[in-house]
Amino acid sequence: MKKVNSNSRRDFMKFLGLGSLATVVPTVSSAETIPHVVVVGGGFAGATCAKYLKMWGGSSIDVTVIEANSTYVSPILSNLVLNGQKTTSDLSFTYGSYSSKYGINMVHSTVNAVDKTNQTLTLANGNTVNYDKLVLAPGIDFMKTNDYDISKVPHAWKAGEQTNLLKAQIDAMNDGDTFTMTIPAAPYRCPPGPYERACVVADYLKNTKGHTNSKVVVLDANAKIIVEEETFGAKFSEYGVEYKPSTTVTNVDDTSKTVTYIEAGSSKTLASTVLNVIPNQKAASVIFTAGVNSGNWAPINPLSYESVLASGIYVIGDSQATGQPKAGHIGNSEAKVCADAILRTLSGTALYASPKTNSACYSPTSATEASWLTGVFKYDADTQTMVASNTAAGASSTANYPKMFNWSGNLFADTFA
Amino acid sequence: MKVHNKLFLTGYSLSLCLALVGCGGGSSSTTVEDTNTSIATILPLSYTADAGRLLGSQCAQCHGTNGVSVNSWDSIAGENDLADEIFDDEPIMTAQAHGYTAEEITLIGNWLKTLSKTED
Ligand SMILES: Cc1cc2nc3c(=O)[nH]c(=O)nc-3n(C[C@H](O)[C@H](O)[C@H](O)COP(=O)(O)OP(=O)(O)OC[C@H]3O[C@@H](n4cnc5c(N)ncnc54)[C@H](O)[C@@H]3O)c2cc1C
Repeated sequence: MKKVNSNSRRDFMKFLGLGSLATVVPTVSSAETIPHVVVVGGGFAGATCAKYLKMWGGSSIDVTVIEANSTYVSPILSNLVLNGQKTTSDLSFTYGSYSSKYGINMVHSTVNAVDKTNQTLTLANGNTVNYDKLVLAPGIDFMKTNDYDISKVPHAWKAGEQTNLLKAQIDAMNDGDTFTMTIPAAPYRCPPGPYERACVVADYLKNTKGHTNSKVVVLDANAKIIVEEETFGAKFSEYGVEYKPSTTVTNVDDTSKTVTYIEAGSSKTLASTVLNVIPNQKAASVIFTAGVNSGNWAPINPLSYESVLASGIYVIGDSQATGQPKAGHIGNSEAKVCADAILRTLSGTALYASPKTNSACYSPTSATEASWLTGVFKYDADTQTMVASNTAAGASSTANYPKMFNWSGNLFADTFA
Repeated sequence: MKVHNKLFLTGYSLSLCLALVGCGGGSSSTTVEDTNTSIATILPLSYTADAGRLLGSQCAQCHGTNGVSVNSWDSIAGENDLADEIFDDEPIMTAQAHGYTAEEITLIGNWLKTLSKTED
């Protein structure tokens, strides 16, 4: 195990001004030798990991979460903001009681640099933080085709201000206006999410706003609806959604509100009242800063989520490169395997050899109906990958709609409370 | 190192009941009798790994942390008959259940039995 730079650790504790840390071992010179795990990102993956590290590791471990924002807005259920069934404040979480309940040190700043040799992070606020183990859970970044203003052409694929911008644009539509959205090439965050959004918006325009002459156009980079094809296909027919698979977006113009794309070899340009371009995605920037990416994502060992490129650095959630879906429920799931693996490693215990994770998505398809998709993933020792051992889908129904909130309620609480 | 191991063992057993007390290092007032102050290496944790708890923690996304649901979906803390219960109910639950082996369900069930129904 690596030696800890005790001066920096002491400085770190000082800068945090944490009485809680000081009370652990106030009188002893080796106080700083309690392992310090730093988690970057307080979303579904990161918040869960820090919570379970403390729940299972107790006072024998120091855990710090570094999260850019003091309020997290859940992308899960955020399509329901578009049709007025939820507000972004309904989907907002803060970290105050969470961090004091579990004894987690919470720092709100952005990690700008990762020094793997000295095991230090440099934050936007100028501070440095030492770590013994580092967990990166930073989510995704977008790969826009060109430079355009996302306040005019919102993606609304990270929730919050973007979600409200898109909602305002939808609400300003008149009957006969067009809503066009583009679906990124897989893999992207939340496989059913874009199809769910097309349904929710089409239903809202047609059945709530009464805009029977409005049109919803979907340009999909994928060759077909990639999940729940039957459910979403049937809803697209019901709502009259114009669905164009195998389309590659090449340019977005925020002034003329046009999108240029290639379909069957020829370039076309489409104008739309509201343009919701969801760009292709890659791991968030700190993954590249830390040099733990291979291509767009971070390859890891699924027994621990430790990077295969850098020891002592773990990657969970949307940024990691396993075949598991990029989703919040399974990000929470991965986080627990990772927390256990870190505690096992710090205690010299062998990793659990056959971890399982699971995924669940409830997708609203209107203001009263939802479908679901679920799967269990198991470790396959031969290929050393996570494979789907069991997947199932539930058709869109009104019975599923309230269940969606039971699911999300417990998921949110297991992550942020 | 002996002293440390003892300390961390205490830390760990505290963590077992932390769901009851809302835990965390923050409220710890442990003092350490340290006799080995010369080197600042990372201390090995005393961590009792528990496969049932690791597998069972994957139920929490839908049934709440340590099996205590925050809404009308079932709490499973203290569940005595998981082998049966896991297959009944909702199609989404059945679908999940089929993803686990009988051995895994036994491990999870044994862990759930140790959890108090009233914990919060
Ligand atoms: C419309 C929609 C519907 C969805 N529905 C579902 C669903 O039904 N089920 C499901 O499971 N998933 C769903 N998802 C997907 C889910 O929201 C994401 O997969 C999940 O949020 C990923 O979690 P994460 O922790 O990896 O990343 P995030 O939740 O994005 O969290 C990352 C955090 O890291 C912080 N961060 C990043 N870089 C830094 C840095 N350098 N320094 C400090 N902080 C940093 C960010 O501020 C952010 O808070 C949906 C998504 C959308 C958009």
